[in-house]
Amino acid sequence: MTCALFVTCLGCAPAGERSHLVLLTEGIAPTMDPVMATDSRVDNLAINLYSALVQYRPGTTEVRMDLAASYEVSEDARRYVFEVRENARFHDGKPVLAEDVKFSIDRMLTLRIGVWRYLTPVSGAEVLDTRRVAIDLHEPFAGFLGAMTRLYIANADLIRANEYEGDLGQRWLQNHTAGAGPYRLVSFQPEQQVTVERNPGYHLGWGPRHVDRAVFRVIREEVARRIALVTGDADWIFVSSADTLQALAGEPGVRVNRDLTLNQLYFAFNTQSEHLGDARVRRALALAYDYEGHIEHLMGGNAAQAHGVLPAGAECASPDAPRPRTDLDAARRLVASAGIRPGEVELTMAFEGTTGETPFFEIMRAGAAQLGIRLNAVDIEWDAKVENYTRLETSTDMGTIWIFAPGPEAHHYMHSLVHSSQAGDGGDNFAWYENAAMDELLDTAAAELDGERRCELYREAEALWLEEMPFAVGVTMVGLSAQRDDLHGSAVSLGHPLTQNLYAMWKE
Amino acid sequence: MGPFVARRLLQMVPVLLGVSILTFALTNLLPGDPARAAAGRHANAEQLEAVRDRLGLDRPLPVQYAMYMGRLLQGDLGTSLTSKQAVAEELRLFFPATLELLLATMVIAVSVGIPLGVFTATRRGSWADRAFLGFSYFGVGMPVFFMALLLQIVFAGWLRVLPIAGRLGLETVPPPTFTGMYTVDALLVGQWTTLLDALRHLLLPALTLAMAGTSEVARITRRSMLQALDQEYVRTARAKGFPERTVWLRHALPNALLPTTTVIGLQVAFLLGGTVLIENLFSWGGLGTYAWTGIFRMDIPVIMGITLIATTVYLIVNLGVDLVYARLDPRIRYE
Repeated sequence: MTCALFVTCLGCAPAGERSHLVLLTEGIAPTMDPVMATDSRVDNLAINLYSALVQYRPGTTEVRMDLAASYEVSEDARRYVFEVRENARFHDGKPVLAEDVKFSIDRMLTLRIGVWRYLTPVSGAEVLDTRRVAIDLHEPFAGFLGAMTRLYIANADLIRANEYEGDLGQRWLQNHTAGAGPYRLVSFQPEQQVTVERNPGYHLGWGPRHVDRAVFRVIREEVARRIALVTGDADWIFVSSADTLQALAGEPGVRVNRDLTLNQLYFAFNTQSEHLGDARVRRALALAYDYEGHIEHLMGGNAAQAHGVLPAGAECASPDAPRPRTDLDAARRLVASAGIRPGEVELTMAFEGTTGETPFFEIMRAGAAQLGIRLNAVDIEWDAKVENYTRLETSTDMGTIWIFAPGPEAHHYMHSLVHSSQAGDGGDNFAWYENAAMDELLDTAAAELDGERRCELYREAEALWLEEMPFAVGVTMVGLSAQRDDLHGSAVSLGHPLTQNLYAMWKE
Repeated sequence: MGPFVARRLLQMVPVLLGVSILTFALTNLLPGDPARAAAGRHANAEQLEAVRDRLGLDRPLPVQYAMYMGRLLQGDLGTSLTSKQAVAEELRLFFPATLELLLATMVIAVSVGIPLGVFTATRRGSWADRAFLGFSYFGVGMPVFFMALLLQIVFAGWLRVLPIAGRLGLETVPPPTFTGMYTVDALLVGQWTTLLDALRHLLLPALTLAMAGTSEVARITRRSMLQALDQEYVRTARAKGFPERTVWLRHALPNALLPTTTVIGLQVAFLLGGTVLIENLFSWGGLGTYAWTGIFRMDIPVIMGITLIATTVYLIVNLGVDLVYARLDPRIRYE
């Protein structure tokens, strides 16, 4: 009977054209709540299901109007007044109003989760009339518009109607949507797939070349994703290994993509720890890391070097800035000048082995060994790592951290990592770095609206960083993916790393 | 039989209590603050305090456990820290997929394993017997993830006759939910196209999971059959002139099935563990996937819920095995 069933199943493979665009990812968002769009898996859905007041033009870092028809900035740059488009509608047909924008801002400020970390200078919002809303800032913030591209506007009435024990809709939004994006939700199957279809009432309209329906499907195993693409069962797949990309490059009907991103790897040096309190030891370890080996051998050339402390595509990243380099002789001299004898120092380093970071640790360990420093592994999940870094006493000596910035502004890298306010309590300053001069430079730069002057300030901060070296600057991620060659428009969006903007895509 | 079943069901209570205490204690030993996991990475002290108060995390551990058990008795397994959904609801969503996969796997393992064991035992030393022994070592020894990839490459990649992952095709309309098992629900409402598509999706993960189980069941059946065929009652049956086929199936097999039944029961525990890997490889979206993400996200209520449900399944299967013993061997009586 089993054999008969097997043969029957083999004999009835369905044929024919798919009506869906199929995108295969490694994981699906744990929630569809747009406030959690700091997680690229959530952002991948939010950018298609929701709209923000302003948004990056797909594939660029140029900010354009989205739900907003226009905006004005006050003279002191502490108040932005947005006018919402007249034709903007949520998926249930309700017009998008100023009140919805205020609700979305208030919700983010109350919950203090997700995109709140990009918009900490925001103090509140005020409804001026049905379509005009003012957003107030504690201080001027040059990265405001870029960060606003992640504040997706949600339908206030719908969320209020589905609140559960004052959770501001968090429970309901896990598997429902309340957006005004180009696509609307058809079905959400946790850990399996999300199906979306075109929203006919989308405020930016529809041209002749768009996708009607799309499915984001989870296939965790890369070999299986590769097979699905080659057989035509998928249109686009996420690729994590250079070997897979190389193998796919020769397949007929398949195109591989290598897109430089704004995602930057850093190595935190705990500046409060016994041995790493000396900047010479931190600089020595930064000089001992094999950057070329990482890029060429580990990543098969699919990574890039930073410019100074920033990725190449970031604002204020100067091509003339010193690149991270390996110089073991200089490193040994620094260690000797710090009075450290070989074999005397043992350090711990936290990294996420499950996301492929073990080789980063191995490279760092090999470099440290050249200096006579022993490095011990702390293989840990991201959430546990963040939890450890909330308190100094549970922080390791060293640790990896990726910055996935919401835009090209230098603020997202420098303020997040080396401003003293970001140490502990869930902040990214895993180095526990505190320097009043650095704080002042970063605060002044964030409030400086003149681009040139701002970059001057960030370059001063960069020089101080390289002198003090609270973080070694690792490599810039190159986004790897592959697609059928009849799929167009799948350009990587620098401000929305690892997302696919369906509105820009079509098949031909 | 009735009092025996009632007694065994009652005996499950202390086992489940023990497992719940152990899991509760172990999950609370894990590094990480559940309040921060619930409130979010950047929650301030006030928010953390509110969450601790709401979830009772500021109480002593035994009190927290008592509160958990109190809610459990009302069918409340708590709320997932990450999805904010009721764990019982999520289990209801994920469990049928795993049950469907387990049942399909057991059907394959039993329907192939037992006949294969009987067949080879009755042809001891033949080329078929030797080939089977080779195959069974391969089946038991082959890592499931490797087997999964191999089957995916052959059937989905080269031959293109089976889907590579998922539970249903994109164009297939899911059946209305009665049991949550697509094959059963499609069968109940007569959605034949959906049924066929669900079976096609079920085949590769079930075959992968069944590979080791089939080999194990067949090996044990073969060994037990060989022992049974050497027994005096078999010689007597032959002396009475029964046809050889009747001797095998009526006299030797029922006795040989007792150890096989034990192995089948043990396989369920093994398979429950195996689903974590297989469900991820085939994007199955069942309990294994739920467990995987729950563990990675340090979602303690989810881990607790899964442990309790897996233990319950295992205990019920064990009870079932005991009942089957009595059915197979009339000498076994449960008072």
